[in-house]
Amino acid sequence: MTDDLDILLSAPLPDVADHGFSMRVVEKIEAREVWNERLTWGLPALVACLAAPFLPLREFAGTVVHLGPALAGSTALSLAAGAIILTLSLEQRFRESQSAL
Amino acid sequence: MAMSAEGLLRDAAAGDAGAFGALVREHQSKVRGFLRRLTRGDAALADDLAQETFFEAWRKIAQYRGEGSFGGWLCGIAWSRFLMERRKRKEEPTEDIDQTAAFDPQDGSAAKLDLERAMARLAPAESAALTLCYALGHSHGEAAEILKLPLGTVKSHVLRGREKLQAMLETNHD
Repeated sequence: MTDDLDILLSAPLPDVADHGFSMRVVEKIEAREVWNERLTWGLPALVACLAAPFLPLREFAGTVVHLGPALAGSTALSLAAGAIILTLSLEQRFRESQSAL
Repeated sequence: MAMSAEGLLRDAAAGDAGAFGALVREHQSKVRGFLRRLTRGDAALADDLAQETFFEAWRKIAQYRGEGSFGGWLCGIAWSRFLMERRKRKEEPTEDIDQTAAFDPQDGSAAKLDLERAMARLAPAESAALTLCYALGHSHGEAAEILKLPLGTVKSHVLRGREKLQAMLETNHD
């Protein structure tokens, strides 16, 4: 009985025919991806468009015109930007080396 | 030319749904079979859980580090999905389930049918541990990782589950 039970238990599970299961999973995944993309880009764009008429854009543009030259010449800002770019490139390289393993 | 499993995994992790589809086709039978046994032959529920398993696998595929088999990793997600569903439904006691309706006699011999009926009477963790270690060929250690249980607990689930099955099948024969 013990041997019989071992043989029964060790038998592979019955094969389950696909019958379109995989295709349905992939279709739903692709549909979800489309919605995610719409939510990620479309929703903020829509909100920005709706809010634009109510924003003080003229004052904002004036501030940018005044601050622009000062920021462009800032050493601290240049160093910070350089540090961010360096960090992002190193992170990208690290990811590439990990996925290559 | 067919792509290697590693290639498919790499492409799927990079967001290629087609590559992930090939992985689903390769592993669907194992995952659905495992879930059918856990749900005591409820094919519709097992397929819903299998679908949720593959959605979660798609979201988390970048986290798969290649430690253990991909099939085992999927079974781990399937097991946690099953537990979540069970908590949600506060599953009815074993005695209330019509186990004869759960399995198709054409799937195998009378002995296999007896085994499935007896398996349906085990605690889910016992059934899962036995299925992983025997039918799916995982080691006790791998089963412990998949079920997120200590190794000793898995070993005792296998031992106790096997003893219960033996007793039930012997009673059937008497």
